[in-house]
Amino acid sequence: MYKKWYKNGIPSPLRSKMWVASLGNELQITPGLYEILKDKTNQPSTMERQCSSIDLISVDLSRTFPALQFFQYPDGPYYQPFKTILECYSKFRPDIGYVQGMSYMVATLLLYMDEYDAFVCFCNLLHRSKCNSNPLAMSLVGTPAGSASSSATTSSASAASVVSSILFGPKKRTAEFTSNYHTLYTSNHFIPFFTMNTDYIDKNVKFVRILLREHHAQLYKHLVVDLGVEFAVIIIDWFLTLFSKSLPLDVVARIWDGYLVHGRLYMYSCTMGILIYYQKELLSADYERVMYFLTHLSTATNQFETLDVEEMFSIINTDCRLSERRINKYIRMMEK
Amino acid sequence: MSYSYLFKYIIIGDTGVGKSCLLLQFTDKRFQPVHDLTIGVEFGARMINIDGKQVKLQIWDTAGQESFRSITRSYYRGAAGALLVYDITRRETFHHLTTWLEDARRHSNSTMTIMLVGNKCDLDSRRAVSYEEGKKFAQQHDLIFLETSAKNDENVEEAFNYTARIINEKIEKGIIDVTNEMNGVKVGNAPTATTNLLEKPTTSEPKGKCCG
Repeated sequence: MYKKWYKNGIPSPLRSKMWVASLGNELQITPGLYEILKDKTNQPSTMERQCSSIDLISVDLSRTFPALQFFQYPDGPYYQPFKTILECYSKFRPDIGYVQGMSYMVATLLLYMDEYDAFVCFCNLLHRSKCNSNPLAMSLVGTPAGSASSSATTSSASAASVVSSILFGPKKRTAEFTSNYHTLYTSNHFIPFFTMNTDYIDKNVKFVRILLREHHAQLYKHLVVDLGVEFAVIIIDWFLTLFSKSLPLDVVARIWDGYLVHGRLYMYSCTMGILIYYQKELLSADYERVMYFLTHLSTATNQFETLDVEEMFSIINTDCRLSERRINKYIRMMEK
Repeated sequence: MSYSYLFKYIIIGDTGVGKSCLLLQFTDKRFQPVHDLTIGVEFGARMINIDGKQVKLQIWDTAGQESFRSITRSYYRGAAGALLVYDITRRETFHHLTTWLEDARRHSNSTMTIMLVGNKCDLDSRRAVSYEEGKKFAQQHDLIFLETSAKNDENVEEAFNYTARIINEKIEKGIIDVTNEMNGVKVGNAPTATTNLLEKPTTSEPKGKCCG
């Protein structure tokens, strides 16, 4: 069943149930907590950071999926839940607050589920410690302490090293490998991205460059060697919002289906898949065209009505399919 | 397409002041009343003509939210020009200019040209910052100043071109060393006055002055 869904995406009516079930509720959020948070959003805040980030929410709502009427003030049916969820989240985690980009994810969730479920899913998506859904890895990884925190890279490197020693037997692993393995594979990337942990993001960028080199040498040569394209710009946009800002909604939903089953492996497959799908445009473009294209991917996908979704997913799921073993190989390349 | 110079720009300022709209108006000649949020950094480019020279502008449009500051900072380095934008209808965006300016000065090279832009001047009835205040702030901090409307395409062209003319002057006076790409300027492959300039790059003269 999973295999079929992986190929074709989860059927829409089942999607909401599947997403709620796959994300789970490790954070143990309750309807009671949600009510308390809602009450709090009506009280003035004392924290400056929180204050300014909450004011921002109203400004940003109309700028999220501006083409979709149902999120728009004041008549859009989803406007109020949309706003409430983001405000409640910034009360739930005032240390992080509202960060631009979150609105796209909340909007994507709201398209498939009700307000409370969307809040639970959103919080767990961002903060769950297990984002790698590979069953074997999951049973072994357990819950590495603090893996969702922004300082994860160093603090839980030891937890990651235990995990990798179990996974890979006696073969000697360097400290760098275990740290990279955690940063690139087992940790939940959202909070390091939302808190702009530059070391963490840099490693992801470097890793994506390695993936591209291994998957498509010609694209790698053109984009990285010849043009010196800044992948950081693209990676932040794509990973932070889990592609929800950059691609059509039906494509985004299918990417999320895959991500919730396969974890971060799938994020990398999608990144490669998108680049390879557009290889013709990219290979013939100069630096300016490439940078414009990649930082305005939604414009490109909207313009080319011809976006062949099946073709794109065939590339993502077949040509760019990643296994645990391959990921390990690529992570090892990071050390060179 | 061949060009004489390439200038790198960065657009900074609070979120929602119209940075992306200014860029879109400049590069595409259109206005989008509700523009998508900018996550991280977006890119735009256009060719302009300064004193008969083709100049290519590479423009980095940054996210305004504080959270993204650590990422956008890395774009200050290597920029020749900056558009520091505030919204004339939201006073707090004007108050934050000092912070933006400190940040820009700390992380950029000293030769970066900064243009202060008071955007949304089409909304005069909701104005919260007067033209004089903007001008005064610019004078105090040694910036060039313009009020613009990305919506009505007022002064948008001018804001980008004016900055380019000043960068060009700085190159001619030898203030900017064009051989160092970190200054945000690159010499192109276009023949300028005579083709043999390629043999003896225009860079040699300013460089000499700069070092001497």
